[in-house]
Amino acid sequence: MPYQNSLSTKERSYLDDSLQMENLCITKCSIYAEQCQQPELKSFFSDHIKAKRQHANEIKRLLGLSSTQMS
Amino acid sequence: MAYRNMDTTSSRNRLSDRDMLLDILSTAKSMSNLYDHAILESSNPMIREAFEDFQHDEHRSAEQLFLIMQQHGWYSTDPRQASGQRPRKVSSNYSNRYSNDTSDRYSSRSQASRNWSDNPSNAAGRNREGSNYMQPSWHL
Repeated sequence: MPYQNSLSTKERSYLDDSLQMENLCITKCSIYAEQCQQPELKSFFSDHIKAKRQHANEIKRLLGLSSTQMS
Repeated sequence: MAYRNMDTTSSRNRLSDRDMLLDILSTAKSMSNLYDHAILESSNPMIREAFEDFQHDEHRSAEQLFLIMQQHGWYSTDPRQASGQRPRKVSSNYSNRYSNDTSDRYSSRSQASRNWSDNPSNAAGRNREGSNYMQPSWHL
């Protein structure tokens, strides 16, 4: 089904933006996890990084999926 | 001690714990905005569902961040405490009274705190007077 696998320009740019934001969030959280004073927050930031990584990977998958299908 | 107030004060090249949480909360809010637009603008159902999942996760993260900040007294929902930076000095005496008090004035609030979290330190960390737990303000 071509409809399932092709991305509109808008969708692609939203995915690109999202990937950048997710990555920025991962970067910030890893710095904060190192610098924060309370161990409780450290574990929150680590968990948050894991969740954000999953988002980033999923976005990459969606972007990659379409580029291979469309070319 | 120079760094007495390290918890709530950012220094030149390091954010305080509070400011770190505040930054990640504001990041979650802006990403939630992004995903909201992405959901509305997506035509491919697979992409839209992915954005909806992300959006859901952002909402959960924002809730979690809000609760952590509230536990630390860094996010007051009481309009009378506009700064939201009151230190969390709550006497153990108070927390006992809080959990045993069954008067009308307090019972609805302890109910609310049970709903927010089962962590008992959560209730003790709250500010004493009049915060409206049932209607948290999500604005900073």
